[in-house]
Amino acid sequence: MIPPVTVTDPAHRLDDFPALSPAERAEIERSLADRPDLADALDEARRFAALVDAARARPDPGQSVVGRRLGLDDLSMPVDPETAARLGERIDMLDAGAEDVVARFERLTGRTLPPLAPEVAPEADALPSPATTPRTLFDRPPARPVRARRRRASTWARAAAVLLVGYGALFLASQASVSERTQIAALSEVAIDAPTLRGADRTPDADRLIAAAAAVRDARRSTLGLFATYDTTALDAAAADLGDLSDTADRRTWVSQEARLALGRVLLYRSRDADAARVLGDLVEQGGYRAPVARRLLDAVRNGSQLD
Amino acid sequence: MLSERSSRLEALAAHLPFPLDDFDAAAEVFVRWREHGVQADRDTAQLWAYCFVVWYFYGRFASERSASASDLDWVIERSFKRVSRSFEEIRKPERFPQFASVVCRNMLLTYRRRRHETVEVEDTTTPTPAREADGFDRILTRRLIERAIAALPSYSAEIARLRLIEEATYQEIADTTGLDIATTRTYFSKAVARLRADPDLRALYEDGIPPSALRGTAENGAKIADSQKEPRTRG
Repeated sequence: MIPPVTVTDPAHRLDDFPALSPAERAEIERSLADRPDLADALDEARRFAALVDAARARPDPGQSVVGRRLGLDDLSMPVDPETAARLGERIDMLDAGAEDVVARFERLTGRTLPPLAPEVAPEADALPSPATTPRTLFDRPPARPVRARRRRASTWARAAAVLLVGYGALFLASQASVSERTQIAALSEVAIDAPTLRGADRTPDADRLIAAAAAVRDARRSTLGLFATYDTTALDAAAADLGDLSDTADRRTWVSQEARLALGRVLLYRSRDADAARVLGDLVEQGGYRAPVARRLLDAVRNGSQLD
Repeated sequence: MLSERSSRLEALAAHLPFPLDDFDAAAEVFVRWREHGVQADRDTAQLWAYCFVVWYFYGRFASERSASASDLDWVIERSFKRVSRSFEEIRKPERFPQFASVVCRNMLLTYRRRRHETVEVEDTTTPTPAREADGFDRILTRRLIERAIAALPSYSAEIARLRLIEEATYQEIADTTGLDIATTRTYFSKAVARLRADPDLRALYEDGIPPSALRGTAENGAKIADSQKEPRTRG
């Protein structure tokens, strides 16, 4: 309950002016009519009270309906459907008789608004078919420019995050599914690039080695780098080439050593452990620069029970 | 369903790089133009001002049954021209939205004086309440008042909010805050003194409207307009 106004405290009454009802304000105005010394203070109180009144006022339905047409949800206070429809008709009627808003702007400013850029529809079910909706300046879906862009960006960001998380999970699953045999064989390391071979290194045997290594690489099958496997037929064909090269090439050459190491990896991957042990053992015994790697693989073959 | 012409309202606002109700962004782009003179900023500020004027008067006229389309053209064009002409002269660029609001408000009061009519609201013959007849932009005004209240010292901010926005009585505020009524009154008086001096709020009314304009409704608008052949707006 509002305490009764006391005539002995005019300054305080003016402080309270914006919070009072129209009748209470009128009473204060009457009581101060003979106080010219407080006229300015009363005017100041009226000004501030007018602002407070505006802030307190119930949302203007016309403003809300127009705001909605401008895509401003924050301004579009709830309006009952019947009132909204009536005001909508009123706005349409005014709009039909008034100068076109865009044309007026262009006439008054001498500027021509550029056509709106076509938008990528992020949600197929949210917009009509592009074939039925030409994207022109005057035919645009309900517009909330910045918020729409933010929402669109947010949608894309969420989608990207979901994909990233999903891919990450699949990647982990893929890694977990790789057998120890596959990890040790490491066929991905069978790689000899032609550009690295120059001059005397570039021999027919070297070319055969490059081709065989490429065949091993090409035998790999995967989707998006996940759950990789190897085509056994292609792998066996590559192993045959590598075996032939191992048999014919000079054992002292790097080509022979690389061919035998690659062959050992393929045989290991194909679970032909005895053949792998023979090839790798030969490489170890020779004591070449590939002997350490061959030794590691040979050890794995000899402990074959751990590979499967 | 929007009519083809009404959809142009959307098309117009869609050219803005920020929502029409982002008053801070409007002020920022205007300040930037004044400081750096980039034409694109001026164009954006001009487009915002036009959209604001359109929104203001379409909203008002939707509730004024006797207003005509030609009246709408008249107030929109004159208001926008006035804002545009003042671009270089607005004294406080950071309060550009308030300036646009004041121009619209002055124009509305001038228009009402010219019409010599009783304002009607919605589909009834109910006169416009005094608080709506003043022509302040409700959204902008409310946001500025809430911001000003939030900037008050904490001991008085809540009291001011309850009393001014929630329309609570002193007794209710005392019950809520645990303070006695005398202290509540004292804090409220201090809060009001600060709010009255708030420059953002003062910018809403200090440009052209004499205090006598705030005493009533359309009837008083006529008195105001008599002293203003044109809305007098200064930055």
